[in-house]
Amino acid sequence: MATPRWMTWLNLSFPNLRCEGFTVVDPLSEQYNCIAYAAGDTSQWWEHTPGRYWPSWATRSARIESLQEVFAGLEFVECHDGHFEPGYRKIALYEDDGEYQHASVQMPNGAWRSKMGEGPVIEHRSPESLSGGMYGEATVFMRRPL
Amino acid sequence: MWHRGNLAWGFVAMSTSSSQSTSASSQHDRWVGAKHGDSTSVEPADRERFRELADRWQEETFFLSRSDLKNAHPALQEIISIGPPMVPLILERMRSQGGHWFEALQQITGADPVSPADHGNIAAMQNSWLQWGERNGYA
Repeated sequence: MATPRWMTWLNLSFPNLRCEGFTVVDPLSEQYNCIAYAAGDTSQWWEHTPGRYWPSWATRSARIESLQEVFAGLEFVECHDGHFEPGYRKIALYEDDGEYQHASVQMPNGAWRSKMGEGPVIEHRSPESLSGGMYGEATVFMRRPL
Repeated sequence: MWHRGNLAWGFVAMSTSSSQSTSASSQHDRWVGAKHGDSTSVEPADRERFRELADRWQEETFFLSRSDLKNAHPALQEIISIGPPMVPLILERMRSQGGHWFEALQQITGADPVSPADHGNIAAMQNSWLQWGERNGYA
């Protein structure tokens, strides 16, 4: 079976992912994005831009602080890093030049999952798996009790 | 090759095998730009140019989670600049392959048929635009 073209592009776009490997856990979908997925919602696209869903408690802005407000409203609080802590769900927020680009969420087994735009949900080793690519860097970590 | 900040995004360096075979989902069709319907009122040159631009836009913005960044892509901006001849092609492609074409349609037509209650519900937003197309003679 030939490699799907999007998977080739994914490997090219995220150099760490290419080295570490990843697993596709949910198929391509244009119905929801990484923010929605990290928030536990696979029914709609969460984005600050007018015409998309954005929770009422958060400022409609591309600034990383606005994305923090989104998750603070879901009872996440900022923490130091993405190291696994039993009993907590963690998220990692990625930014480039002060603007949010992506969110990843940690699973109870310590692995991380990301909805890749309109692409699939993948499981990857760490937040750094997506660093150095089009999402910038994971700079904010938040957690809440499971 | 599209540059956003210091990142170069493009498809020129990757393999472009035409033997696409995957079980991921039906959305794979839109990734490879496989389906193109017929619309006899559209000039062939417009159709071909649209296909090139749409494929490039959807491929190079596929992993983005922000429509404002998707919409800034030069391929989409060119589609918008061509204007009304692109509307039936956009609707045709959205019907067959999906896609977040909402802002492009809004900018070209000036219409806004999506109910605020449906903002973020991509399937409902697409359906609203397709119904708008039918009401306005694009079916």
